[in-house]
Amino acid sequence: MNYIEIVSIIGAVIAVSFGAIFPAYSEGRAIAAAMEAIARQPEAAGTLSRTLFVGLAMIETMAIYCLVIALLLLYANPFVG
Amino acid sequence: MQIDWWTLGLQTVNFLIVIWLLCRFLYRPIRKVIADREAADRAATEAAEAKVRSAEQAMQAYQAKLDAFEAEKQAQITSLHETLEAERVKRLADVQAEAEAALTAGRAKIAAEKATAQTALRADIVALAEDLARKALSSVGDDPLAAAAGYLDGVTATELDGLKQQLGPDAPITVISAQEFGAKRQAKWRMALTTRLGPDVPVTFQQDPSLLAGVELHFPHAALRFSAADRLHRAASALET
Amino acid sequence: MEASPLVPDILFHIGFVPISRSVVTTWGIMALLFVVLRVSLGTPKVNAGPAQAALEVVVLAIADQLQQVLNRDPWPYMPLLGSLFIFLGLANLAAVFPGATPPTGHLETPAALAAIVFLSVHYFGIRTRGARKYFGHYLEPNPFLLPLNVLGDLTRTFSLMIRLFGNMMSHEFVIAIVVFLAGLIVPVPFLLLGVLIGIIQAYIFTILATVYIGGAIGAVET
Repeated sequence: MNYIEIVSIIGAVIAVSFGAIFPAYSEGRAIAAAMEAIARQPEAAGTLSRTLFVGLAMIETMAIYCLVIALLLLYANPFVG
Repeated sequence: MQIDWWTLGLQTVNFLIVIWLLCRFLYRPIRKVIADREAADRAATEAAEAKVRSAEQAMQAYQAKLDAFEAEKQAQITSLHETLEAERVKRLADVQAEAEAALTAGRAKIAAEKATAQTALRADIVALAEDLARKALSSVGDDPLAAAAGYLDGVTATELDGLKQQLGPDAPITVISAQEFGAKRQAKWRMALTTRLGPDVPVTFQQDPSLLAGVELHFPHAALRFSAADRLHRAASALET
Repeated sequence: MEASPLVPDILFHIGFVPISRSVVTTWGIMALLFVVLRVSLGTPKVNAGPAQAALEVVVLAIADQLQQVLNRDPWPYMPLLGSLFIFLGLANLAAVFPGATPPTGHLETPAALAAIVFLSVHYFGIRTRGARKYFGHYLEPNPFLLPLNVLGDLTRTFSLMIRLFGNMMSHEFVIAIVVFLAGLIVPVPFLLLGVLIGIIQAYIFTILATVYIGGAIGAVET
């Protein structure tokens, strides 16, 4: 097996794992903060949840980037064949 | 990683077609329906408002009628009051005039009656006075000495004694006459008295024009009156009683 | 696992134009929309029937959301944003139908939508605030930040595209792996999760597009 492929697979795994850990952590914090805010001000739940969704989408984008990089490495590696 | 540009372009066009499709077949009908609903709502609201307005107008008309009735009632009451007041004033004036007339008539009648009564009274008084004068003058016209002697002769012995006891040297018989007695008449009187009452009877003479006519014999505690004044006096007392 | 999810699968050619599966699925969605709308809203009635009422509820809910974000009359923006949500919802749920794959799971459709949103942002911004004022806000708060602002515009559009694509594609991928591993019943919960993810992604895409447009027209601080 070409060692470039091995490195690509390792890079994809690292990208996905770190790209999962930190967005998951930050999404957890964001949701916790939003929950506290909603508990404190239930009447603002609509605005808060909408903003929360947008923020989660922003955070999730990072994970998606990592995933895309991993998939690129796996399926569309420019250095392989 | 490869991008199919044909697919990209086709999808763009497709999405624009979707937008047109939804605009044409979804948003426009729904907006139209919503607008129709709002228009219907507005129409219903306006109809309701018009109804409310007409009801208010009817109520105002009713109120106006009510006010008119009230005003008419007030006017009638006022005119009635005025009529009554006028009637009352008129009647009062009539009654006052009537009373005035009656009073005047009564006063006139009273005055007339009074005048008549005064005339009659005056005539009576004149007649009475004439009568009195005639009586008084007629009784004393004759000799008062004879009358006094006749009286003294007529009284009882006890009465005569009573009279005699009153007399004394300090208590004389006073003969009061209307005209001044001359010495002759004095002697006659003294003699007449001494013969009847005793020889030592003191006799004094006095003259008093108010007796009019006749003589009065004054004892210390009694008086025998044979004067016209006395007669008049007695006649007047008799009249009073 | 032979076919890469990144490679468009061409079904057939019309002339020299290759027609991919995404395009065919989109045509199917369009036909479905057309039929449903013709049937249920061909003659709109003031007293709505069930189908019309359901559509009204959906449209008015979208309009209400847009109104809350934009703080103004949402109807000028409904053709773009409402259509985005409806189309994305249907496209993301296409996996429910057998044989159809979500067009958003391939790069071309999100790219097309993101490009349309990118252009629309400028269109609405210029139309609402005027070209001078609109492009002036790239110089705020400081003219030196112009490159960053432009870069921000481009990357947010790019991330808009990649977010939708990555989510849908990765989900497709996960389902493919699960099917490859287990087979019959096990993928069903993942399919249900796919429904949720599809709707959430459609919502997020629409809301982000709304926020971008709101920022361009000055209604929202981005």
